[in-house]
Amino acid sequence: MTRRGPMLALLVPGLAVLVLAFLYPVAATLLAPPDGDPATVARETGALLSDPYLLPVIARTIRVAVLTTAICLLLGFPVAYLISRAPARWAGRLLALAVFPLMLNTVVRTYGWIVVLGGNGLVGQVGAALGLGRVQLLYTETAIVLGLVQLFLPLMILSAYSSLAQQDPRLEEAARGLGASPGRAFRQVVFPLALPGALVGCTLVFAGAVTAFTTPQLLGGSRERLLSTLLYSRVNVSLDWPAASAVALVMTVLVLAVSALSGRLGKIGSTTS
Amino acid sequence: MEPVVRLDRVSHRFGGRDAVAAVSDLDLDVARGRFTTLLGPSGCGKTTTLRMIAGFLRPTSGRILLEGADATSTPPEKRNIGMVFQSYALFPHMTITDNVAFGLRTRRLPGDEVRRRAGEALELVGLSHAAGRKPGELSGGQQQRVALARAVAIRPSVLLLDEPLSNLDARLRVQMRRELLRVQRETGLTAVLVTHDQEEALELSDTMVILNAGRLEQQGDPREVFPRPANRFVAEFLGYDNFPVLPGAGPVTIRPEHVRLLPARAAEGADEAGLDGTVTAVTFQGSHCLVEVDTPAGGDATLRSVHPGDGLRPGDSVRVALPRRHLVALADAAAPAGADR
Ligand SMILES: Nc1ncnc2c1ncn2[C@@H]1O[C@H](COP(=O)(O)OP(=O)(O)OP(=O)(O)O)[C@@H](O)[C@H]1O
Ligand SMILES: [Mg+2]
Repeated sequence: MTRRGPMLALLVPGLAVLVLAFLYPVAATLLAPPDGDPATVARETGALLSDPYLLPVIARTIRVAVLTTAICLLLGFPVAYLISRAPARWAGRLLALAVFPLMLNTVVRTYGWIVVLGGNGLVGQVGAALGLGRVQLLYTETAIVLGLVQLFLPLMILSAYSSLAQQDPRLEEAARGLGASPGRAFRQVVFPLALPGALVGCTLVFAGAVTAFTTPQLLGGSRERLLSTLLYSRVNVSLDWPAASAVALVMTVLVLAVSALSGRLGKIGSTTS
Repeated sequence: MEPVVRLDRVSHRFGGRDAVAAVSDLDLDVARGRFTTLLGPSGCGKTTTLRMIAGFLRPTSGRILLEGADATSTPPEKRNIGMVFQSYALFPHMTITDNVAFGLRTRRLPGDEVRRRAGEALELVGLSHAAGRKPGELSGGQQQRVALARAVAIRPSVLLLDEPLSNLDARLRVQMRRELLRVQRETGLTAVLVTHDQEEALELSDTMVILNAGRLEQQGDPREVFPRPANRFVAEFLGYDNFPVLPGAGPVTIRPEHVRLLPARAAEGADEAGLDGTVTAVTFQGSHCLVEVDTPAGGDATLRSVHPGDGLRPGDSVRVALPRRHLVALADAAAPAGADR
């Protein structure tokens, strides 16, 4: 405490990198892009938020991100729970297995989905065999959500696991001993205590789903635009920097809003029962 | 009277390559309204036994009867058992009242009865004033009392306590021991307490059960077990430090406070056995000294005696007198001391 000055000095290099390499470029692209100024960006943002073609893109992005987050939570939390309660010599191997998809290149992984979901792929053939006609999941919102869930599930598992592994398993036993069914013990003790990890997972998955580019580009194509793919075409196709900045601004606000919300939820969770 | 809990040849073996039985063929009856303690060295299977009674572990073989009915595969939530964990295991996200009320709510009791009984339980342990706080805001001793109130509130058919006092400092431990006994007597609950502290077991037990390496060594009223250990393991565990070899007698033991030291060549009494020996160590213990004596005539056993200690030095020759009425015959010769496995 008495040597606060030197301690603060330790922060300087990290802060400098953060400001120069992250905050400055972000602020520059968001507020004053290469051929625009804050006023143009503001005008473009207004246009984006009132354009009947672009509003559905925002809505779709939110819908896809929320669905992806919800599915990851529903699938990932139980997996993390089982791994955290497995015998120690299994936990490590199971965890490695769960995060294995992270080691694969996104493009490779996504092409896998194209093969599976395409009209001649597994889904198409099963659909045909069942007499459902030509089932085409590729280039739909469903395809994007499927791809994103696969992409981000490991993040949810890891975040939830880190909370669950710290939890004293005796707490769950105590609840059971006091007459709680396994479901009740999970709802009232295991889950509330692991909420911080689950919320971190949700924030990461949501932010990832909003900003992911390869997966929605390959699985949604130009038919199912999301903000990220829209941003790409603004920059690389129409070369309209101020419009691109407007899209980026909306995405940034979305992600910040969700992470603020999860911070609030975490606080509420830790102060009330 | 029917025992509240009966273990019928219960064994538990943890999986794994070198699976040793943590508990083997244990028969145990827990009498209604009584205080039973499970006593034994670390790793002897005390916690495992308790967790099987509570239903957190399935026995590998054998049966568990609760109130006379087979409960071997009954899940813990259907057993009506109150457990106090060594780590307290209070729910950190709930207030003290909500912790104590948890087991009442799972029983779907009406709200006013939940409040009344949770209040009563907190009063019983003297913590009514902490009702609205969170576990993290209480001291270790207070958390322990909340854990006790939470287990007692459900009026369990048996209260299980796993080394509930071992995390407390020595003074608080003695105080909580009294309090535990008071709560048990006031509520009339059947209690099973696990401990490796013989003093605790002697003070609390109506019945004391001594375990070694997953097996039962001796059980009974501490007033009967303490003066009459059945074998060398129990004797060592209860602080009988002397195992002299007397000509013409089987294995015996005697407590250090009963061993008398006489000058060399003095004659022991008619009702005493005598051995010649050499003092090897004199250790100051406060109110007395502990004197260690080698006895070549007594099978080279080292005997310990509680002695004023004045004038004795290592190397001195003494005559050791063992009053026969304090000699306890043991069932086995020199069973290896079963400490940690
Ligand atoms: N989960 C487990 N997996 C494998 N072996 C275990 C497990 N729990 C306990 N054991 C083993 O079973 C034996 C009995 O353990 P237990 O916890 O019942 O001992 P204890 O008498 O309660 O000891 P302590 O006084 O140290 O708490 C020990 O040898 C221990 O190593
Ligand atoms: Mg134990």
